[in-house]
Amino acid sequence: MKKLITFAAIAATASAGSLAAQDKPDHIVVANTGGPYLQAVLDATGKAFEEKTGIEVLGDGPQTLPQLQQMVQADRVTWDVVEVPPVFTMRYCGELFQELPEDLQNYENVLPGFGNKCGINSVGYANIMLYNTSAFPDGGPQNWADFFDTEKFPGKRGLWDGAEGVNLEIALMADGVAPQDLYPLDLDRAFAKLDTIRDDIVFWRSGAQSTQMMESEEVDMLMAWSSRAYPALKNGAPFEPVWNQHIIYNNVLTIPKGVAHPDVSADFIRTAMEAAQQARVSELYPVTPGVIGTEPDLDEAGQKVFAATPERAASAVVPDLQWVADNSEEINRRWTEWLNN
Amino acid sequence: MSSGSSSFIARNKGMLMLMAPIVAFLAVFFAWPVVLVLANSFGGDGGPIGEYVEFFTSSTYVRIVIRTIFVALLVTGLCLLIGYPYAYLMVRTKGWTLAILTGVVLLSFFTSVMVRSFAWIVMLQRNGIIDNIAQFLGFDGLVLRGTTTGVTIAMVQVMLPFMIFPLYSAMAGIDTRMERASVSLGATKWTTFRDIWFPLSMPGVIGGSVIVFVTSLGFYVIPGLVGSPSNQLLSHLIYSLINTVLNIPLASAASVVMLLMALLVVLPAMMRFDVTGSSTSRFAGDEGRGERQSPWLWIWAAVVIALLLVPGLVVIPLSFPENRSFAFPPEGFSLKWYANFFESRQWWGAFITSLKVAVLVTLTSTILSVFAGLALRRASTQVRTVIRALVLTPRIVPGVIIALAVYGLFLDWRLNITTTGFVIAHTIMALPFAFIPIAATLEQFDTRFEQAAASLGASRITTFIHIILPLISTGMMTGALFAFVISFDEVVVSLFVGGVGMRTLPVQMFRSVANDIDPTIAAASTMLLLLTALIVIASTVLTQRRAR
Repeated sequence: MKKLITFAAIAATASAGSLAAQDKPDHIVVANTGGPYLQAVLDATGKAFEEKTGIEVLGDGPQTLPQLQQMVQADRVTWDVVEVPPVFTMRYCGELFQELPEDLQNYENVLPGFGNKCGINSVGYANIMLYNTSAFPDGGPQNWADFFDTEKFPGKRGLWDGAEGVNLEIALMADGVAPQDLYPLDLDRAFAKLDTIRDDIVFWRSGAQSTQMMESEEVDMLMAWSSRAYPALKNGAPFEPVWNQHIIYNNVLTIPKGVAHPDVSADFIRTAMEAAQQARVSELYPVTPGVIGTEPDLDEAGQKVFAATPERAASAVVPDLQWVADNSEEINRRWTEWLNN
Repeated sequence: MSSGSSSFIARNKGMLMLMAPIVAFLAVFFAWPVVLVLANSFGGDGGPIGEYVEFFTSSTYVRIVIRTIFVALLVTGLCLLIGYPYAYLMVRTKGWTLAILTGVVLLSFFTSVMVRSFAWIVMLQRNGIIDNIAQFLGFDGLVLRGTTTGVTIAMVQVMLPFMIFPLYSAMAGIDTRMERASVSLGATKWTTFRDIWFPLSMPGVIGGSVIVFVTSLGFYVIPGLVGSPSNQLLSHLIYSLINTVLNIPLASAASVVMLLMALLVVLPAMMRFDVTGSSTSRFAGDEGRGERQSPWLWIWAAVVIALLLVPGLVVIPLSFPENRSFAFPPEGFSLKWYANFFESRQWWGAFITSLKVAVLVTLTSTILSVFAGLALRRASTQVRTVIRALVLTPRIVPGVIIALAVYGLFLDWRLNITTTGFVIAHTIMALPFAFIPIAATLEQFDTRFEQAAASLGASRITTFIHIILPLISTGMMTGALFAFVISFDEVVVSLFVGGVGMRTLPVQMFRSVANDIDPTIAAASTMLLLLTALIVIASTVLTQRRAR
């Protein structure tokens, strides 16, 4: 009889153990673009989450859309939380991403324009103009119209190789369109304006390339992500950011469809949105918090590229990413055509 | 089943059994999943040919296709032009000179493509090395980054070894007595070259050209990093169709177009010429080696050596900067990036993973290729052509399509982020390179040795181990070497197959170049370069000693 009880006790413990294991995984995987930014997220949010829950946080990156699509289609999702551009969640909400819990959908105090039912903005950056102070010692371009004025400000211009959310917008602003009248984008007009500086453009593809462009002074002015301008400025590259007509951009945190523990994923996102983690991440990596009013402790170069000061936030242009997402195929096709014709 | 086909099977039982592993491997892990992905091109919204109509009615896409063909042809032509005299000089030299000429090509071949792309950026950009030299010489400067010229130069540099090796191996098989006969009959040196030497080197010319052309068609890393989106090539278009708009039907249609273009070039070449081996006699001997060669050839060789080595060397100074920066010339001096390589789990772990995977891939692809090569010798011409085409196709299908296909298959079979998965994926990529030299030596191999052994009572296995294996060891070593390098260098597929806790070194490098400025990549490259140099030098010294 005693044996039987022991046996039952063991069986009970074992099944309780496996139940607990189902409730609480021993680790989760967070995916974003990878590199030092991923490390910053793991050091800030990951550590805080581990201390709170005992669940280890692992990182993966770079995350890609086709990889996620295949995971979801095969029902083998290994990323518990994925950070993606908001255009993705706007296009694939309910298809690749699941709806977030109510509290995250209605989170207060985040920058508007980026989140939706499937994504909440975590941190971001600004698409800013920087000019080379050794090329323009007496003051460089001050707005996008100047950026497109090759007579007043001759020289090479660095631009991101991407169609969505920046290049068409800055071309239209340079052509005199007011920020609040940008959408729906007049594609013909935008491409016609881009034509005027075509011969002077040097494209960068990855953020690191834009940093390298500033350090090697490959260009005289460029559009760069504020987060990528930081290492160049810190290393003494002679570039001055222009906080005028800058376009802000936030990535969003999402839960893919079919994850094993959606509750744990949501908990991780809640941790990421807390003020302490928001500030810590941007101290470790020069991103701008998505939660309004976060005040990280930054060095001099960090302050130069910090987009969330009240003044800079006031002059920021917010893109209509829902419009961009709805017209994504058209925009990308036209962009490829423009590039190659 | 008709009696005709069953007797074919009976007659060719040995061949079919040898053939089975490589065919089964490629069918299951490569052909089937790739066909599944490519089938998407017929399943778009616009009906079965909708995607193709969209593709060919777009003047942009057609222009990109034409540009891709043009660049691939240009790279092939230039590699041939640059590589031919070099390979010629190699067969005309011996001892240390030959060892150095070979060692340089090997060293360049071994230097990671990631590293070389990175070096080309540093050299070709504005205020880069070439620009500064041009300015120093009094020109306005020369910025080739982002131009088709820049992409072409970088691609030629990367592809050159793939041209030189087949050329050398074909030329080494030419019977030099023919040349002397020709000269003794009064032919000029030039006539002899044109009428005797060049036609006999044709298998190498075609073999090298096919590899270079096909690889250039689908090249992603160099055009992606050195080129500009405004002169993009087909591989880039396919990649961005998949990655930014998830338009897999159109991307698949573009891949089918690329595949057909490659086959259009490769198949006729393979029908006419024995691409994987030369049918010339094997009594070449060492005559004609070590003769005095024209000084122009030496000057040419010096230029080629510089072209092959400089990109690797440029990286070395970049590994010692004080700051997290790739400014050239670098400022300050520090060894911290080397320390980081050994201390960081990401770098060191990736290095160990790469090493382990590459060794296993070398084994699997060499064994599969030897089997296939043995079978090929007994096969008819048609069967040979089909088998060669099959083994070469992984070279023709764009890497990103293979990546997507393999990744999907591995999800079902739970092979992603496992050593097995990496080995399978890399073997697919490495097989074409391992197979070519191995099949070539096996075909050239004189069957009379085998017959002699058999007539003396040796079993098949004894004959294989004691007769065939030693005789084909050079080709096998070359094939194994190729397989190792391909695996150790693979980026695109590994990006998909790897994951948390298991990444290869090139992926770590790619992430490092794409995401961050981290001089650890330069430190890693420098150490790889030194390691390679040591191996090349050691093997050269060993062979030289043995030769004495």
